Amino acid sequence: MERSVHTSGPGTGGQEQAGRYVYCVAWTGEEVSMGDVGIEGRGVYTVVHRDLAAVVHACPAQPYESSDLAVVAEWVLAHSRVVEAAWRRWGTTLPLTFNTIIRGREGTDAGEELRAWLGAEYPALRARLENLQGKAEYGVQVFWDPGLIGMDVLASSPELVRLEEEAGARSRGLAYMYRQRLERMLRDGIEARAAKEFEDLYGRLRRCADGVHVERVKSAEQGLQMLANLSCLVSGERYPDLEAELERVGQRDGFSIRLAGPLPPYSFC
Amino acid sequence: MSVVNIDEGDLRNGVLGLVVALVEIIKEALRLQAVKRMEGGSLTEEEVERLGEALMDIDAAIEKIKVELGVAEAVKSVRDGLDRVVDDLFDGVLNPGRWQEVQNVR
Repeated sequence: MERSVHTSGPGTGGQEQAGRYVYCVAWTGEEVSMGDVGIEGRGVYTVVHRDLAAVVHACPAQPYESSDLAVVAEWVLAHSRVVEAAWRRWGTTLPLTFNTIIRGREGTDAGEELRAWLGAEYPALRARLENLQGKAEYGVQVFWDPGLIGMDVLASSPELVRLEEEAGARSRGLAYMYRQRLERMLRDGIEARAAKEFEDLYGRLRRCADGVHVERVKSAEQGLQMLANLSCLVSGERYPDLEAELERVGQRDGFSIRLAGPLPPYSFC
Repeated sequence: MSVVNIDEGDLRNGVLGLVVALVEIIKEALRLQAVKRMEGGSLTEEEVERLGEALMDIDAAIEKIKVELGVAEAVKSVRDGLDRVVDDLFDGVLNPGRWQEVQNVR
């Protein structure tokens, strides 16, 4: 579905201005226009309450909806670009979810409603921003090569080595059954190893991060299996520790690391 | 009003893919049971041999059917879809935090 764009009535604002799309809340008292950088090129500006500013654009009071994934992807990208720009400019920001739109109630317009919301939530927003001060989010993905790890698991278990030898020496039906058994045990062995590695990694990162969120692992790509997909909230001073830990893991045989960031703290607000 | 167009070839492939995927899953369950019995030691070597032969024959038959019907891709997509459903299920059960998030959004 394509969104229809109405032209606003002169002076009144009208339906076109009935909502405020909120990208994030930044720790600044700066009242400023950021230019036409918003979703679908809308003008983005700040609405200030004391030392907090909501970064918004004016729009109709209805969510952005489309069945076209490419269109949605473009909106979400525009959203994150604005959040990132605000984050680079003012440092500490609370990103909001895509499609957070404030609309006016009877008797108030959306702008007043937004100011009222900032006022009512001020202590909570301020506390959350203080908590995030000087910190950034990093996406950490750890991959391993299941083939290589499998060989290692196999070599370190005398029982598996014996099974492998037996599977080769038997008659057709027996060899098949032994091979099935071997594969099952190998899979269990690799899973146990993955659980141990994950626990170890999580513990290490937990020590140099202020927060670690466990995200879902994505399916294997190019023969590499994702062992861990983590979002870490890390302060500037402790970032070198994180980097050192990851470097250590990345140097191990069969392991590789992908580190994304610094990013606005999407997962921690 | 929206009209759903169903291509007969797609329908045939979809249904056959589903059926063969189910047969594969049943075969894997059988194989797992067979290996467990072998591990339990309740089978003689001859019985294990016969089981192994039978399972190999089933493997070969299923592969042949997939090639003859041209449904290898359809079978794979059914199984990938099922894997995702199971993943979501486990993620919800094992990760109550995320489950809570989903509830909040709804």
